[in-house]
Amino acid sequence: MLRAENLSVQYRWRQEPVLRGVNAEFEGRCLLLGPNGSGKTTLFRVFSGLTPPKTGKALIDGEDVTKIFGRVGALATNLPEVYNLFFLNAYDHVVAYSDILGGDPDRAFEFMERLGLMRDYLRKRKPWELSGGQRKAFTTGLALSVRARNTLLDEPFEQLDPAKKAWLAEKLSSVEGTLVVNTHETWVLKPFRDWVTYLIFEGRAYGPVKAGDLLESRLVKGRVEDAVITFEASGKVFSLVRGEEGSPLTELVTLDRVYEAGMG
Amino acid sequence: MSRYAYYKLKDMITNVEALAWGIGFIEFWVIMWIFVFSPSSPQEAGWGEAVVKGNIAMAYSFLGILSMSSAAVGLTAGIYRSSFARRFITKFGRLGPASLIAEDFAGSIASIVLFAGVIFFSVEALSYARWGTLVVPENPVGVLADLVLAGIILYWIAYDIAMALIVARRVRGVSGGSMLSLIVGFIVYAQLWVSFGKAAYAVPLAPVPALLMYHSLGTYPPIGAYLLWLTGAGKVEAIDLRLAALSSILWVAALALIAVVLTRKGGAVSVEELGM
Repeated sequence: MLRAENLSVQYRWRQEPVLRGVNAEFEGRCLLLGPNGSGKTTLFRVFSGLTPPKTGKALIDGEDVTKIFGRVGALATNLPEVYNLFFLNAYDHVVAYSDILGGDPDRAFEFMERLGLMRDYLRKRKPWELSGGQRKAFTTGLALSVRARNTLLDEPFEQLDPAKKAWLAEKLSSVEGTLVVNTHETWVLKPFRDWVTYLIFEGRAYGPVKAGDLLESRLVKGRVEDAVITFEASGKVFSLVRGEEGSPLTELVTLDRVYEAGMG
Repeated sequence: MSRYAYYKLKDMITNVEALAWGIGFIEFWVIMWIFVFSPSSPQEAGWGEAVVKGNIAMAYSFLGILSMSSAAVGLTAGIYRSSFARRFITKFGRLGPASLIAEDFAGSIASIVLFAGVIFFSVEALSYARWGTLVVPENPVGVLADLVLAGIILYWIAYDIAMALIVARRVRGVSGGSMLSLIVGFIVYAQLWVSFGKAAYAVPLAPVPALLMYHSLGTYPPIGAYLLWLTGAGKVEAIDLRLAALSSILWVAALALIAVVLTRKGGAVSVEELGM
């Protein structure tokens, strides 16, 4: 179980905060939906112990992440920066990381092969020489092979073809423990309709709601009473409401388009 | 014990960039020292075998340390850039901060020995090619051990600089910060002309040239100003070799301890912060 308590993050003191007092609790299968630059990845970095919070706490199974050391299996992630230890080929990375993180290399290879990354190919490429989609498959395979109590997947569907997306969506539904998937794509609401979902805009988290409730709601400008969620983006207030008014969230395809909806 | 050390070793001996700094750059300095900075034949310059021996001893003592310092520059930058991964595996992997440091060191030591070997044998081989005289040091194992000791001290200096930059979140300081190892190397190099006196025992790496001189020539060297001593142009205070060795060992222990503390304290440097 992962809990964020009033989390704020600022990379440099002159810059705008990336996270602004985020409160959220992730248990079971969860979605974190937000446009690019909203703070999704930063929130994952805080839970991974990589970015220190300016204020607040990130708790993993009740323990402050800043105090955790040597806790094998407590958390796994597909953040690519985590897999940047050696100047070795991708195959050696799988074997090395499986050993260090307590993962199963065969499980990782099986997953990667299903997404088109064969072992021979991995022997010939460094991780940073893989294409965007291949690299995503590589890091996601490594993260899932750990079977951690908590798994964070950052945009796992990005740059995958539709058939692979569908296979991965099915695969993720069978992951045990807490799994948090972040994405800016709204199609995930359909296959994951029973997942707990938070929206994140400009460093502020909104929720939780069931993905199915978001699937059936429409985006309108302004504050509406009894809205499923009301959030702010670019200084404007939006509400997700039931009924016929506004556009279905899935019609936006990506949450980046909320900003376009706010124009005019 | 994980297999980190094994993969670190594999990384070090297959990493083209590390090899270029650790071997290519060393060879460049060795060639410059022997073929450009030294006279073409000992007889022409009025040199006897003893002088060639002194020249080789200086090559080990100062060129060796300078070359190791150059290799340490790449090490700092590498640690800095992999800070995310290092941070993550100490939290959620089988390696805590102390065991990561121990395994990283174990994996790196083999490459330090390799670099020391390259310096030793290339100085010997190229000196022979230049002057036709094979001058073996008085204690070759001692010379190799001293070169490895220099590499170990520089490894910890490079590690601590990277971690200190991360802890202080001086994320733009990596290019300047990584050069600190080289600056330390040049401070030690300055002892060819000047003597730090007893302060040399307090400067990391500074007493190592004396150890190298001793194992190369078999005579007690001074505490600094080695050219003055080798040419017999002046009198310089003799070094206490036991104190020199103790100082080096204490520096290794202190720097390793600092590395553990900084690894526990340090976060990681993200791509956004690096401004890449």
